Amino acid sequence: MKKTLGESIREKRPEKFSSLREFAKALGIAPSYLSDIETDRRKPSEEVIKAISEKLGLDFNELMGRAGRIHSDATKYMKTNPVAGVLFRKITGLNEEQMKNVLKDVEKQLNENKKDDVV
Amino acid sequence: MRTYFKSNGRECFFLTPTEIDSMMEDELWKANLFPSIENPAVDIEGFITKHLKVYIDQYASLEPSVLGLTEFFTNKRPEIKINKDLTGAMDEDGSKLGIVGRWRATLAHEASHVIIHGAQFALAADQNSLPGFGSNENGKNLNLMRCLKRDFLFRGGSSDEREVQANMGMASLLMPKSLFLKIVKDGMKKLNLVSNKLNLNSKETTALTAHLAEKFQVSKQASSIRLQKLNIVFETSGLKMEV
Repeated sequence: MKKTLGESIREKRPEKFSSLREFAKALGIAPSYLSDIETDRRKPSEEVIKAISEKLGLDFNELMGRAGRIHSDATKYMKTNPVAGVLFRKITGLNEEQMKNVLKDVEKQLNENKKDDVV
Repeated sequence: MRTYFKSNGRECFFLTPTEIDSMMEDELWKANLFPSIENPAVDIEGFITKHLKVYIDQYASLEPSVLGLTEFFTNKRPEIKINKDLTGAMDEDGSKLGIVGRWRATLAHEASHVIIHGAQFALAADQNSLPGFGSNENGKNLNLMRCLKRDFLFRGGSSDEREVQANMGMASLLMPKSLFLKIVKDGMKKLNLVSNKLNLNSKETTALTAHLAEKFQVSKQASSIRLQKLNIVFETSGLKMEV
């Protein structure tokens, strides 16, 4: 079973911070809000997820996914590129394995774009 | 570990206060968190999350009469919940030793359930007799230790032996015996206290109690009871110091 956002954070936090208060202070948020995030009672904003990923060394995109949030850049992109919106709607019909294959193809394409830019 | 059976058929651990003192000191050493004479306040939150690998939900919505709760599971680590009102009070005024002490005591009490009764739960699970482990609340969830305000006395005022043991464990974790005795000796020197002239109700004992509470970050009630339980201070007359 996939870990929730809260589970991912609370598993990693003791490695870097000895207390809830210490980590909340580092993030600039209230300990009660952090506790709600760690117990999946509340979903944090993109900014807070970014700060958590940086402080704990966790992958930002993975945390965003676990929080069920879409990156603000992605939302903006979809709004300005209708094809992206169609693609997003269509991939909902794929299973996880097929989704991973699509992701691989996208990453491959992005790498090729980078090479083209260098040339 | 020695066990006995209660009249309801439940198997219980038999532990003396000395055994609980040793058990808790061993755990603190294993965790590499045994406090020093310079900084005797145990990092109880770090002890629970890093050493016991138990998550503490510090803002749990519990009934007002329940300060803390420990739940045991067969397929994952136990979980500790602390009443959000208790933690909230500490957030509001963390400078008051009484409030901080109460919060730390609740954490240490629940940690003691994990250490002592986690083993009891595992034993019951191995013997396929989990219903025998039960709960400290009749008719409610099995494998659940709900810790009520009235059970939270360092003197051990509960009828459930597990609450009494967790209270002993709490004192042993927050005021490890060997370090406590050393700091009592130092405290007496600092406060110019002369032996054989102290009793529980004297102003000298009150000063020593306050000194110990500050050092160990516990309530004055907790340090006072620890002094009595370790036979250092007596209620009627005189002081016995064997350090």
